[in-house]
Amino acid sequence: MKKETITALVLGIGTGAVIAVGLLINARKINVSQTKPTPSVGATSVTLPIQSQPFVVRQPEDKKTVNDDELLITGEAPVKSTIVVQSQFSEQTIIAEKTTFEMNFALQYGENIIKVTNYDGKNISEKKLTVYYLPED
Amino acid sequence: MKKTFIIKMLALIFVLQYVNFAVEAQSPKLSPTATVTPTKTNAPNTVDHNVTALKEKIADKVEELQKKNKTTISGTITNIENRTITVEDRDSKKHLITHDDLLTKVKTITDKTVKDADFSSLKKDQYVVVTGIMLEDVFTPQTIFSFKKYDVISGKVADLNKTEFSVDILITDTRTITVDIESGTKQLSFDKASSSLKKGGFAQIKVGDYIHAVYLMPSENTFSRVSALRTILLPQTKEVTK
Repeated sequence: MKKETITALVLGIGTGAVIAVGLLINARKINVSQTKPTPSVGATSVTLPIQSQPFVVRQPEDKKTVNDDELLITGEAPVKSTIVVQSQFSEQTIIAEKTTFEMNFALQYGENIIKVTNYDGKNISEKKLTVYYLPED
Repeated sequence: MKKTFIIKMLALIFVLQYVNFAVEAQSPKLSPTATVTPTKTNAPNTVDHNVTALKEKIADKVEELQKKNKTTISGTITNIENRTITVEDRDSKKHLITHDDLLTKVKTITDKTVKDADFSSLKKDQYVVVTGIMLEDVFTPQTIFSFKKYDVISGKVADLNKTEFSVDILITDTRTITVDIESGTKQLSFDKASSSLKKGGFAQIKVGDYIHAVYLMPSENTFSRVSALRTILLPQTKEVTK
């Protein structure tokens, strides 16, 4: 066999061996990181403060144009909290019996500026809505 | 010799192709009667039907687009130039609205009645509600309603003036508005026991209570005194605050 052929064979086998060893080490590292025990969430108990139900008005969306003179207002509020709804033409109050509320609110022709306020102890939340009642247009 | 032969053959093929194309192009003109004749009597009906269907489709599409793109803007007129009004909404955003004699109507809303009006009746500082179609940022107004600008406020009663029948309401941590309770003000008070609104009066209002008030917005931007149209009192007792 020629000298060059032997050198090429040796170099080829050597390079292959280096790559194989490298791959083996890398694969072992991945296995180790995958089998590492993750800390259990339930192992330590964390006491969270009881969050009261936030006040949210789900319906109607602001700047909505409607064809009906009665508007359905829905949302979420803390139980036993007071909800006051007032516009330039009408007003209504309810006490939330559940965490969700809904009421029908009277509209008048044109722009209705509606303020929905929730009184839950010292927490007061409010949302102002503009609803257009324009049935003929 | 071979080359010349190939070139000749290619030229012949090209000429033959051209002739074939020319004949094909002319052929439909030569035989229209044969195909049209049998459908002669049905053609107008079919065309009419198709046109009607197309018209209906277009009308439906226009209606759908109008509904989808219907927009209502409200605000104060800050400028009038020719047939264009500048309307500044409650968020201080300005809208340019060009009145179209054919498309745009002008109306006045007073309480529950709506009356027709002219474009010339619109004045600077007037509050308007404008409906129209918004298509690719171009607003086409349909109706301009002149309207009154109302607002609703609420807050804690900071002070009372029993001589002037006025209430200072703390609407934010730093802003107080004096609200005059007039003889015509509709006053209501919330009764938690019955969970209903009952007739109220100025004598029931106490410092520390919560009060809601509706008023007509004064024309000036900075104001500290308004006249109440209607109020709701929430007495600051154990009933209101848990």
